[in-house]
Amino acid sequence: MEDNKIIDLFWTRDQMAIEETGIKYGSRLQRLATKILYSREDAEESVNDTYLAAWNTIPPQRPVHFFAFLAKICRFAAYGKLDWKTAQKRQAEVVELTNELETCIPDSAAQAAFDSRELGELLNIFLGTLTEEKRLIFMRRYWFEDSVKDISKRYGIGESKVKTTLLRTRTSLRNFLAKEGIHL
Amino acid sequence: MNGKDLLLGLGYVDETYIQAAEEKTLRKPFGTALRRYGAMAACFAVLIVATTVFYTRSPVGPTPPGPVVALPDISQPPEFVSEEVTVDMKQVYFNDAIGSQEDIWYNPEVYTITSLTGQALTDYYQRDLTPLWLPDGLTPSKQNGRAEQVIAADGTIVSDMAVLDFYSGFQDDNLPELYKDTNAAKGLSLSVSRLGILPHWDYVLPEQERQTTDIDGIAVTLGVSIRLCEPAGTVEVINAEWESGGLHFQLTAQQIERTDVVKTIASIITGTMNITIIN
Repeated sequence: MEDNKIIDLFWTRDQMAIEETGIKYGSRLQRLATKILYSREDAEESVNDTYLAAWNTIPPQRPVHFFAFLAKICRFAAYGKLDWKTAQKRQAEVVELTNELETCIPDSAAQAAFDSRELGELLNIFLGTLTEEKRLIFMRRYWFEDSVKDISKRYGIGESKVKTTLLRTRTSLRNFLAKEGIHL
Repeated sequence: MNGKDLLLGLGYVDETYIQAAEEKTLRKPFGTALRRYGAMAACFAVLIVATTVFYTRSPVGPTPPGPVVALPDISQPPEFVSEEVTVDMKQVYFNDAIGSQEDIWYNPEVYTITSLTGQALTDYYQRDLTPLWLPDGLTPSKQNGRAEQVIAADGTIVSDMAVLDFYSGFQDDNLPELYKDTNAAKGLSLSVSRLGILPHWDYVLPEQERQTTDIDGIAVTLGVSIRLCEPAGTVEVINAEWESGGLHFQLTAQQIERTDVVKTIASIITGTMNITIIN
């Protein structure tokens, strides 16, 4: 079913909205949450939380990008359930991603406290400065938490290129934060 | 601020960027497209493999290149037998394997990376790399028929790997489809190199203590490992390495019967699909 029709179901408070959302996006959301949580049950819970949040927010909202809208909620829900200490012990991907992103933080900002929402706005500006290719690769790695191999396959490019692009983008982000971050 | 803050901050980025990353594809650059190791990439659990050896990922920065090896002479294509080949599974030995190491990464600022396709690919390897026999239900990836060649500044070829994936199905993004129950792909991935520079597998026993299996006169090192794949638990992974016809091969199979893996290997080695497996 088309996104607009599913959203219409939400607007008419038709519970088929949840079912149709699950059919169309359930597995993708489950995959996203599983990558963060490494637990099927917790991931399922995150996906269910996503459906509930969508039910509670549509209406009044009418998302333009329905999948992104759902995925965003799901990612927040999954991170809300993530036990970082356990993740560390299990050497989960999320820990590796955190370590990679650590290299983007300029020394001047290391000790400062930042609000996630404000950081998000800053990251939005940064993403806008990137070429599409760099932005897509960066988003797949750090938003969708894809492995380098998965990104390589998705875009049909070599793993070397993915790694190089990520390295350069992280360097650009570090420079960007060093330049802009102090204004936060 | 730390890496976790950045990861969480990314949650607030514009939905346009999220949607684009999900939907858009990059134009296929001619030359660098190559997939490697479908089975492993397809399985989330590759990240939590229960192993006694802990690997650290390759740093995302310049890493040393692989060894530079002179290209072997394969000007004469291998002569394949046409008669029936029989393999007795009782004579096949599976070593306990641990897992594969990270691929060697070649800095594209230092090396030229090109791809071989079509006739250039056949000319380079002097044969069609597709196995003559494959287990039922596997389909080739659309991205088969391509090899990546890495060339140093002095013109020396330092890597020349072709990867062919055969899985039960593929998703829109060419990743192998995942079985709902096991969350793991079902199929096999074959890597081929003239130079012999292929992803390295680790085994429980050192090389001198590993047993090989004779398949039509070729010594094949087979390994078996268990991969954790949530939620189902585990899937069996069979890996194999051998050299024949001047080429180095490596095969990784996941959720495939051992007899079918051996039959596939035998068909590659002998160039015939007329293989009989005795259990």
